[in-house]
Amino acid sequence: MTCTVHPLYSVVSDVRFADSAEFGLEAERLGVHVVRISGDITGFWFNDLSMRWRDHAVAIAGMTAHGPLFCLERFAWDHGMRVVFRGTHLVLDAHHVAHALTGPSGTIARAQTLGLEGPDWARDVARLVSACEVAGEPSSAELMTVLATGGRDDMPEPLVSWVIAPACAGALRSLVTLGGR
Amino acid sequence: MAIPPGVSDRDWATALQQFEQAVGEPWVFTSDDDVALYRDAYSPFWGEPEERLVSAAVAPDTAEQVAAVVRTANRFRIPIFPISTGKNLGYGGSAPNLSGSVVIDLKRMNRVIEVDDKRHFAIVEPGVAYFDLYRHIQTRGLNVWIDCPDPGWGSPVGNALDHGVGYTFGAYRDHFHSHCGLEVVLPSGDIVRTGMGALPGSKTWAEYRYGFGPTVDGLFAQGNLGIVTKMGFHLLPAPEAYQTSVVTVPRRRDIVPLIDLVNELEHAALIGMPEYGSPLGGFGPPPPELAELLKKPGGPIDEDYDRYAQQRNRGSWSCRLQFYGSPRVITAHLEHAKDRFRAVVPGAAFEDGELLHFPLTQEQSDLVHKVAVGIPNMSIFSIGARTALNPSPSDGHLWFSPIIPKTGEAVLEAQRVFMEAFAKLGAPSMVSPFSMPATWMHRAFIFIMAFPISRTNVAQNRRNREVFRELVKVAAEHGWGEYRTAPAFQDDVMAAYSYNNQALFSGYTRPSRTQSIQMVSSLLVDPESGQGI
Repeated sequence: MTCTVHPLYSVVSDVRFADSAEFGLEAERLGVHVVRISGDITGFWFNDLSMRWRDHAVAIAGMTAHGPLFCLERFAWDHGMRVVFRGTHLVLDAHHVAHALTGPSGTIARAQTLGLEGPDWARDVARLVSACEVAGEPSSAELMTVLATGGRDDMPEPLVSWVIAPACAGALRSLVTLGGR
Repeated sequence: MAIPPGVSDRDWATALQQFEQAVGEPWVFTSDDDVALYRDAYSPFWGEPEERLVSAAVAPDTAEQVAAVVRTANRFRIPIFPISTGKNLGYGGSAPNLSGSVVIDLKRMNRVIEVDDKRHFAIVEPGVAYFDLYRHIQTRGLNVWIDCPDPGWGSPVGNALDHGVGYTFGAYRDHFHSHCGLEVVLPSGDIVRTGMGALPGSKTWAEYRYGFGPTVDGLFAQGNLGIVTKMGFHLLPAPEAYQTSVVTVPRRRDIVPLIDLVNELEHAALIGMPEYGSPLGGFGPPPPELAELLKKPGGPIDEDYDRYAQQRNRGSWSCRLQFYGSPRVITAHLEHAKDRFRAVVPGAAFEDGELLHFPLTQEQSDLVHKVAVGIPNMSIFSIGARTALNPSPSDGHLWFSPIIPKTGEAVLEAQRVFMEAFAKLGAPSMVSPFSMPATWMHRAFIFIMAFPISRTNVAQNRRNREVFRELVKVAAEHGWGEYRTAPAFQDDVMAAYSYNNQALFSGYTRPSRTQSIQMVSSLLVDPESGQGI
């Protein structure tokens, strides 16, 4: 199997969480089709993605709680696809969000450039996954968002941003790009 | 790459070549990345040496390919472990009983062979998921329902072969009970069909399960005697309407007539699956006032619990009754149920749900418990998120599933016995005086509990394994056995089924789980003759 460019078919936003909603808005602004869920991927899976993946593998991305990714990742395995980028986003307190990212080195390097430092970190992540490599040397990074003013008063479920793309053999690099529907 | 135990490098290389010849090179998986996908996501041994791991996986597309793979496995004495969709989470997932096994992944065998909505049956391959069968029925507008577990990504074949259960009506919920006819690849590589399927050109494969002669189907469920490659099922005719009604009874001792009456209704096919609960609580740690009550010397008596309920202006027990059929039939059955309760349980109160006509509107569909109306879904994975009530979600769970009788006395005994066991073991109780059993089975209760699994806390996993094993013993001492369990505990559970010095399980009918199970070739087939022994 050789890698090709894999446009993003959809981005999943879990509207139970404000950060994920922001992520979805930014993805939409970038022109990606956004699927909004409330924790349950059934509708997206049954009415859309399962039929698409039965025909051919297409890349998807999202920012969700662990549960939706857990389901989609296992469905993806059955279709020869893998999670190629994973970022966990943990609200530590009112002023700090810790990010742990793993993925292709180029994407991780871009994440470090973006920094995810300010209140728009979820939108930064949307920009990151919208042009994510699906192969390359694995790399990781830990970043921290510091909310200097105001802060936040919620302690939501840790969120996960992710990209699922066709599994690639070899080191050929490719990009997940926008607008794959 | 791991190599199966006792297999030489040379034999392994030859076996892999033969697997590739049988199924095609793309469908033999040996890379670390690929075989890692078959780890049990909820393994109680996660990251420990005892974790069951896979050496390779092979994905055949036909029964003939399965047979070829089995013959190769036998030739080189390679342990194999078939899975259907491999989603049996909480009972072992897709990981094998024996580390180093080759998984036979049947996901490519995903054909719906036949669905008949006049005679109400289906014949499917093991890679068909509940979602697939549901879609097949819906897109063709067929007048049948499936009965599916929660979640719906599993396989009807795999679920039935592990004695899985569902949520709708009567014995349809017992998925192996509702099966009818199998196609099986035996350890020798021979392909057999059971029941009417054994008759070439049979017109009733999925309607009459016995055929002629001894019935052997049960040997292929939770057993290691073959790999099921086709399976027939009886299906429920799509009902016209659906209604629920919750009956609440006031006193603690009312649990006895409550369950007796619900049994009467259910076994007479007047209701679907009942769902018991208590307005006072359920599984999980007790609230402070109840914890205080439980400290009473000698334990609380029924009147204490009744007072606890009265102080909260709540009933002691409830049961959600589900009615299926035409509106007239539903109304008659509901009125009959109310008459029976009013005659037997003073103070019984009913709260009726809306009478729903099929097909449901989207709004109605969003509100019902989907599996109760035969709709597969994944929503159960959206309820494990961190909340105020669940501040530290686990990474998974293990089901402890003892079968107890369908009586109020048995439920109260199970509550007492397991609460005492947890206390004696110094473990947090998963049982309260208001815990009620699961009712998926038509003729028995499952007093089910979920042990949390951690990916990072090995000590917690070890401790939970110890407690789990002790509970298996405690249950057995009271005449309760588990109906299915993860590979980690199958020896413990099997040991409890010990009548006449474990005569049932001596020899080679060793229980296992999933699609049809781990098959240690050397136990089953003479490597010289290829014949079963």
